[in-house]
Amino acid sequence: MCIIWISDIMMPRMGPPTTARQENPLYLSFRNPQWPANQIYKENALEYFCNQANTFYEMNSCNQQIIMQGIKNRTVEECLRNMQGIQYVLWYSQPPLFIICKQRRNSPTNVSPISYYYIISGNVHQAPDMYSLIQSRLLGALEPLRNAFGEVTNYSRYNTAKGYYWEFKNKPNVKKRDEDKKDDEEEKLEERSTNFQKTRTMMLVNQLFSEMPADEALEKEEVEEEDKKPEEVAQPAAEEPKFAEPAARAQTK
Amino acid sequence: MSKRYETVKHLGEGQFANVYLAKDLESGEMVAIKKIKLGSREEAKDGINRTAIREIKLLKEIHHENIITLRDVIGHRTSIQLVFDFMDTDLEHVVKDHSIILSPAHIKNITMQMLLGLEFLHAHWILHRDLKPNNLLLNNMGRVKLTDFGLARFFGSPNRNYTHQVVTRWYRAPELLYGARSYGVGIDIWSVGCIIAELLLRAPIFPGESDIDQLVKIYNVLGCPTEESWPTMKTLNSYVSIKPDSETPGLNFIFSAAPQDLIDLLIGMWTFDPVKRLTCTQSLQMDYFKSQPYCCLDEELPLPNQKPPKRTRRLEEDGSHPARRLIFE
Repeated sequence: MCIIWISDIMMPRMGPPTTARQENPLYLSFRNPQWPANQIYKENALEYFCNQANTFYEMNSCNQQIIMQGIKNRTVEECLRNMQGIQYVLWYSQPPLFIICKQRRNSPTNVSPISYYYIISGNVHQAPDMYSLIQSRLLGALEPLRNAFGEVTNYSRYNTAKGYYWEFKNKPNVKKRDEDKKDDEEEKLEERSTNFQKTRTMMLVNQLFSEMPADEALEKEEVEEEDKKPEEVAQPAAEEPKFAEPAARAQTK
Repeated sequence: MSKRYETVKHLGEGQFANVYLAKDLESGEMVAIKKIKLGSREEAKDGINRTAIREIKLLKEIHHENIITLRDVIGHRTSIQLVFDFMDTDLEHVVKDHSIILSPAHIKNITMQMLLGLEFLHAHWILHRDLKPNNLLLNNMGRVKLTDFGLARFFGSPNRNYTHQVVTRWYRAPELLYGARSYGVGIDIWSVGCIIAELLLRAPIFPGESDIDQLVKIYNVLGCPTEESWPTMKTLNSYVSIKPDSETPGLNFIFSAAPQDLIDLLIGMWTFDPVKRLTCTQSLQMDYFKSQPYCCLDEELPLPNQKPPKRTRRLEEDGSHPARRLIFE
């Protein structure tokens, strides 16, 4: 499977993908400009989503049937339980993030989810599927790698006497260019989020921390830290296992 | 009452009749008996009222699954009693009961049954002239039947004029509101359109308070008819030109969850020019009936007052109540 994906990504896109891109729901988003984002709560998030202008919302869904028939003596959830077909329900709520699940209900007890949508600060996006997510990440990782290979092949030389060898003629220039780029990127990073956004994100991160306690994530962190300083670990590595115990690492420090 | 029928209870009183629930002792089936009021002596002198005569005359001749069956007529001294199939409820109750949510398949089924019954009537040159949710009965088998033929009559004689004071106002076609004296099947089709809209919205679509207000309500939804869309409009007796209050939002906006083929059907049924309006047969051939979701089964149609079975179920699940009853009894 993996190979297929990579080859898929490495292949240059031949056809005009522009139309396909417009139809891809992952590139779409919806925002109701008349509804301030800070006025979305757990109680009305679904109402925010069920908007005729929302591209993710199907007008012949059960939700719209209820709205059209003006049924107000019961909650939407109660009505949906006894209906069949496409339905939208609030799946998760932690302002400013809400998750809406689009599902097909076959009976009061049988429901199959179709897709999920995020409402974050009033913007509605479709949650990506695993395939698109991995494809996107792989592409992000492989594209620079491919460029690097392309760059490097310019400097490889062949000679019958020597065999293959490297020849870097304009080495300093390249380095300079890279440094320039790095500086630019760092500046951009700083501007990328406002203080307001950071505090909002922290709320979400804290929520995630409380849901997934840190003990389980501990091992992962260690691995990352080791990767960062491979030279320090390299000397005692002969005796120790590759994934060091916390105590062992304290010694090396 | 005849010996064949045993009265169970009084069901209701109309303008011209009392209705009783009764049991047919021969077949064991439940029936509804409509006892015509004779009223004062002066009225009785001329014979019984016209609506009863019309009903008997027409219903004796027509038999269709979607039309109420007149099982028997009992003439007893001064009273006339009509024996009908017993029907559990009518569409007005269904529309008003908000514990029911009508699915697209339910609405398609009801629409089709309505049109099949009406097609049969029109094919036999009968106009119903009073179609409304109240006159569409529904039994516990999910069968819809047209009833109340008090205003129904034969049509088609070119030199005969009819009164335009027919059909409950909310379901009245624009040509009747303009005082047309010669009309045809279009007036029934218009009413059917209004009933479908009422099933979709669970409220009347054109609730006019007067005849003029009725036209305004219609034009606010459909826009005004033009010289092109209805050329003979100005020749009608009481034609008045009306400007709509506001711009029309469009049927797609009003029936937001309805599929396009249903909107097309409604547009066809609400064509202003009665000549261009759909007939029952044409309506039944529309794409709406050929597309998914298809009609549900008759018995899947929801009935109001379906709460009692749920209550008994709850008792069984709970367990404590029956036990307590046992102890005390």
